[in-house]
Amino acid sequence: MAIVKDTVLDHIRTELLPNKRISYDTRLITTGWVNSLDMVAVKTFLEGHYRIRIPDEMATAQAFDSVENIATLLGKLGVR
Amino acid sequence: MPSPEKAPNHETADARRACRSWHRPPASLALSGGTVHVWRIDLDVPPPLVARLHRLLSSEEKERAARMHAPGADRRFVVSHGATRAILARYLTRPPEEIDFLTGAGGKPYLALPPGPSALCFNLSHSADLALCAVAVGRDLGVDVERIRPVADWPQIAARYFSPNENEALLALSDEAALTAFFQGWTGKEAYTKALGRGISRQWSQFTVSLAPDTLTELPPASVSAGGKDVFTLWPLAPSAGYVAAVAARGTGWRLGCWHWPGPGSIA
Repeated sequence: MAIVKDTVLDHIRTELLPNKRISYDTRLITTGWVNSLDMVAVKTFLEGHYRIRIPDEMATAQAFDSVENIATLLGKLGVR
Repeated sequence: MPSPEKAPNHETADARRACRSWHRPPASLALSGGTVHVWRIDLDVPPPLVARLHRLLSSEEKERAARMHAPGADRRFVVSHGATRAILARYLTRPPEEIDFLTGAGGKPYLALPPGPSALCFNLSHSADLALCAVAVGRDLGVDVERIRPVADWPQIAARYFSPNENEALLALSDEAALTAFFQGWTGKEAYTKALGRGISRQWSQFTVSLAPDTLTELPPASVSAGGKDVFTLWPLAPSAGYVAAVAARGTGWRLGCWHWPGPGSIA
């Protein structure tokens, strides 16, 4: 799971929030770091990278609100 | 599931003018049932104005603002929500701090007022240092604004969420024009689904909006599965250099008024 978290964190740091202090538990949406399009961009990256499909009903703001939450979501979809 | 269908689009000189003309509002501004107003709110304002707008917020809004840790996010939240209260107060003729909101099943906020054909409806969106607040009477509506910026994987996003017609249109454009058109399409789709009180979904690929900055789209009923029962009209907006936006509202033939906040008579 640590590798998954680092992959997600690296992507967010590289593509969305360069030079920002983001950690595993940083709240991304409720604290104003990312918006809905950014969230969809992360979702699209993850679907391509892990060759999975994240159902719309699982792609909630809560599920994408931190790297920790995203890793938990991926775990539910079998990504370890 | 409805099949992908090209929506009827039409382009008028009025539309082109309205999409780009933002005016200082008169001190007294009426809103008829056949009109939609969109207010442009600059979120980069001096601290004294931020402080005045903060005083208009409810305790819950102040708590949400305090949780904003991204640089400038608390200011943007306070100004967008405080200005929205000030704007709605113009129409409701009540103090902005006394306006109450409720949240719908899809998370869409609405005014805590009796519903009906004369009920004031609104929707708010912000991106970077710009917010738009759309207002109408008795008419479901949604608005979305985005700062045009590099987005990794945007062609993959378009492949998943845009219709075949939209993807075909994007492929015909240069890289820079395609990115702008992508944002125009994204704001149109998000404005429409916000008007329906719904969220982003893969069903977005089942309806087509115009990717042009000056072409209206009429979206037929049920453009999103289990969605609207009525026709919605989508207007692209050009709120500021480097931004694109769109407003969607139920019905056809409504007029659009675009205003810049604050104007004369504004509370703050």
